[in-house]
Amino acid sequence: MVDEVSKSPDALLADLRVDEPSRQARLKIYLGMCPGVGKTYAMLRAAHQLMSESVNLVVGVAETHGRAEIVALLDGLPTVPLRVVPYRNMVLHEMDLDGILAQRPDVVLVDELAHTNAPGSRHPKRYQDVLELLDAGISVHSTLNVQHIESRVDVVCQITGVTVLETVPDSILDRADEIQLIDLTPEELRQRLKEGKVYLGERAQVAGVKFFREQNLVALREMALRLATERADQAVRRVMRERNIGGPWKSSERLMVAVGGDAGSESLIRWTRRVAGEFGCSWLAVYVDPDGAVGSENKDQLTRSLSLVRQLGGEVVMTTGNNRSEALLRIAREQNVSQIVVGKPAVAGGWSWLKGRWLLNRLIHRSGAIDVYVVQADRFGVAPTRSVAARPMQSPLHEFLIAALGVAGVTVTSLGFEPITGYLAVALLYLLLVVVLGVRLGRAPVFAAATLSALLWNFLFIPPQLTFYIGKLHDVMMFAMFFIVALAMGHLTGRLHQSQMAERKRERRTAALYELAHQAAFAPELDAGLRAAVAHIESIIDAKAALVLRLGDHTLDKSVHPASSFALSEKEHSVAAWAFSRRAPAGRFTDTLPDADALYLPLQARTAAMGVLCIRPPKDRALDLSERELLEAFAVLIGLLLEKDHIAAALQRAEILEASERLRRGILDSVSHELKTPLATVETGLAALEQQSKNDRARMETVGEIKFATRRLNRVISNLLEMARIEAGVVQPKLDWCDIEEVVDGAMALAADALSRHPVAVDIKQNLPMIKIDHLVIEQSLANLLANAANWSEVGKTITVSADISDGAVQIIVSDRGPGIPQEELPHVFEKFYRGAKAPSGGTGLGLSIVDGFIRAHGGRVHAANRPGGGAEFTIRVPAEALNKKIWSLPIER
Amino acid sequence: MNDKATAIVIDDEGQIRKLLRVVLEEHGYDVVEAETGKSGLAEIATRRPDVVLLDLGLPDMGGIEILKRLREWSQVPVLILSVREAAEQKVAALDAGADDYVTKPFDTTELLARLRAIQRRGQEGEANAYFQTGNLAIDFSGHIVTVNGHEVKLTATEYDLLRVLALNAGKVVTHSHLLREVWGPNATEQSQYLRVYVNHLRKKIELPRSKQKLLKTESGIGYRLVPADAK
Repeated sequence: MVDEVSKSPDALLADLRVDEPSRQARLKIYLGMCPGVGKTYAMLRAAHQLMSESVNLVVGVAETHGRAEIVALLDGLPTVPLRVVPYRNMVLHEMDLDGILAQRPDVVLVDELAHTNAPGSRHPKRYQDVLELLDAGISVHSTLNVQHIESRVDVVCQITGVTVLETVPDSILDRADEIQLIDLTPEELRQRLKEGKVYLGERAQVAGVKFFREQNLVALREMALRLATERADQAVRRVMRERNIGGPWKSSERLMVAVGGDAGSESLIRWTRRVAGEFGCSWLAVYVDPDGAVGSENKDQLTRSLSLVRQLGGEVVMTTGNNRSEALLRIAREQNVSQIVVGKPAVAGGWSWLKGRWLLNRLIHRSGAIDVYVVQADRFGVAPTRSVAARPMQSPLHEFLIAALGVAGVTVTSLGFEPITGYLAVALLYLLLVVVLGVRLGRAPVFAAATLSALLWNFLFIPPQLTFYIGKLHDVMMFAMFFIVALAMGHLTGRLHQSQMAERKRERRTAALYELAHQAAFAPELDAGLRAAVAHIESIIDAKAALVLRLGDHTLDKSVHPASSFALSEKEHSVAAWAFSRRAPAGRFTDTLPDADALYLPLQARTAAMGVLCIRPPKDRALDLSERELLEAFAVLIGLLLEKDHIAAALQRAEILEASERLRRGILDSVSHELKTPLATVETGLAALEQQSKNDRARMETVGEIKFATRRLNRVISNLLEMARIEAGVVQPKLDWCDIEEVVDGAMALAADALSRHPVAVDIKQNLPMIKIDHLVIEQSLANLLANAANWSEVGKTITVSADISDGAVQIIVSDRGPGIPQEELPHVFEKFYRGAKAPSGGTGLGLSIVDGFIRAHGGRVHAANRPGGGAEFTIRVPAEALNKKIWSLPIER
Repeated sequence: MNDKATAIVIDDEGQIRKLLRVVLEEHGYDVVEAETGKSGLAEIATRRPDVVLLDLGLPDMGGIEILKRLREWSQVPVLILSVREAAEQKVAALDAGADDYVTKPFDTTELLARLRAIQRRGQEGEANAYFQTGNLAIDFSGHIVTVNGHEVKLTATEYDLLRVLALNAGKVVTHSHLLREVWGPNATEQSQYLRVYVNHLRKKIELPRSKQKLLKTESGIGYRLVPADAK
């Protein structure tokens, strides 16, 4: 009991998270410390074991490297042939992803998870192929060396001196259901190497030997072992959580790393991922945008860093704000972060160091309960550091020119004024210039202007003139003050300028979204709205846009929407189709089919993708982060617009349908009333006549004939109305518990007139359970079958009714000993107005059609056949819930 | 008893009214006609009839509405005349206080038998201590049921069910009415109980080879205990 209470909400949530992805496809990874430990061998051995258990398994790709033992193991395993990819002058072989998907095996073996695919493949990396296979419900067994794991790359580089280029994100390890460590002692491995059992590749032969040095192997082995232990640890924690054992897990921990536009961020991100992995907790990365101060060079680095975060399985949060420490703490509190990771300030001394220290102090001072880790960002020297502050500030050359001209102008003017006003007033003129320049120009030209003015003022105006020497103490003070004030003014106005620019950018973005929403949503019809949307996107982003929409059958249209300004080739369309079916961006600037001409964004609405937005910028133009985000927002907006239209159309259809059904029902009711009322009058009149002519035989006979004819007319009208009801679709079974014996009795009573000259044998098992059916519908159907049997049988011949309940269905059989049904008529007996060639007069040919219509409306089927020994047999089979036998046989007591 | 019984026919179809008058007068009723629901209610109030024949499809007010108003001040037996096949309407009318129904076009013999059955109940007022029809006899005071003179052992529930049906002999009793009377007000949706017990009851009180069913199933509406004399 105490355990229940002690389970924290976090732990409960984590339970849910583990339960949620109840996927069938499993990923198993054979993990090794380096090539040559025997991963492929182990995987193939296991595959043979699976084959013997008759698992549907294929080999997607297996690297034999010419080793005989591997080739021997491949024998007897079904293999999907590799795809041949011509590339420049070479012929490359790649795994045939579509071939495997088409074959749909249960398990596929994919060797070398970290492999990079040939250019032009669907995905740049093999692990992405694997993810697609898993998504398609196919389990994958794969192999991987520890040095290829993204978060270990820098450590491997530090240990071995080899930079690994082929990497897989850590998230794929998290996705793995099972990781099997293939371990070998360094001695054994070196022995295998000597025996030539390890393939190193032609190029790496020399490097390889270096790579396999004893101390490297020990370090790599430790890494692999640690990784496997971490995984085991996670599994243990999961088990503990499931079994409600109080344990040391810290699911409430949450790490946050602050990233910037510098290369050091990448190693910070990797560090955070590793620590988060060890804690078994979630993590996120935050980028604080200082109001658009990041140059384009930095943007590339930032995009790389952020995509690294996503690859490593972290979340990305972007925010704006001048005050970095406050923005970081705000996000940390919003996201329930327990620990913040920041980089160590750059090399001691210098402006950026001061700035970094200041930020750190503020962060630590105000973080409260949140821990702050300060990590040496470029510890492993993976990439050269490019700090923001160290980089020269970028401004176009003409801005410097304007600044210089401004300073020159003020100097010349001041030379004229100075004899009248004195040299002190000149300083104010210079200050005015700096402020004016600050409003218009970037920060660097303003600083340059401030410095230049200070020097010129000193040189030309402060006595002694034409020297930099300043004679009087108060002039020294004046000069120092001037210099500081000019710089501060330049800085402040520059900042004002920047935030204005950022504000304008944001405003443009909001305006663009609003404009699109307005144009598209208020267009008189959908096509016009889409045309406006395409035109709008093209006007904002220098690119051509096209739309491919979802068709009624939920597939993607083969051709583009008429609003588009370019058409798609078949190859391009297949990229769009991929984006549509996977609801993920594809094509240029993405990881999927990046060789495509255009970027394809799914028009994601609430429930499904409504189509694809295709963006084709000119060949040499790239889309930056904000443009991508804007386009994605556009895609969602268009998707919602399409969905809205779709829902409105569906609603309208439903309304029309409902109205027409109401109308049909009303007409049927009133027709029924109008036809039956006069009949009722005639019948009542006949009854009166009968009373009055009790003593007159001839009259009685006449009345009897009229009465018979009236009944027949009544039956025909009832049949026609019944048929009309079935065809109008207004017959809806109302299910209730029924006793099948009662139904049969009721049907016999309904058909009593027809059955008056035939004995009926009822064969119903004792103690059948109650069933849930529409009593009236089944009863009427059965009555029609009984009447039909009586019409076709000679007087005195027995008609048999049997009923049974089995396999969730009730089955009723009506059989007679009449002439049976000629073979060629069998398929037609349930057709409307169809009457057998030898049918007795007086029928409408509707009785059996009504049975068919009723039983179909009830979700069942009626079937006609001939009996051995003569006669016809009609079988009704209707699915029905049966009452539990136990309830049925309860002692009959209150 | 010399006084003729008075029947009020409320129907908007003039021909039906006229013919009903002919049939009913032939069988000793005084017949009063009313064309609308309002005038029908007024006639009932002034004439104090022995039985009312009410058409469900009147132009001025629904049959259910008329029944509800009528039952506020009168317990006169009411027979519903309906052209509609729909069982729900009949059930609604019966639950609103009608005593029985016939579907147009109707059999005159049946109509007269129904009228007799509902009138009898109206006159009896208090239950007899003894009920007999055909082979079946019930002694309400001693809770004893006999078929052909032999006592039949019924469980308490089966007896209650039979008692309710016998007290309403000749008249249809709706499913919900039976469930409420026998199982209590919370059981009105549990129609499976009813099916099971009716099945058991039939096996105990109906003679195996008898063509005549004592407990008649009114599909979609309820059950009727058919007295042997009122075929």
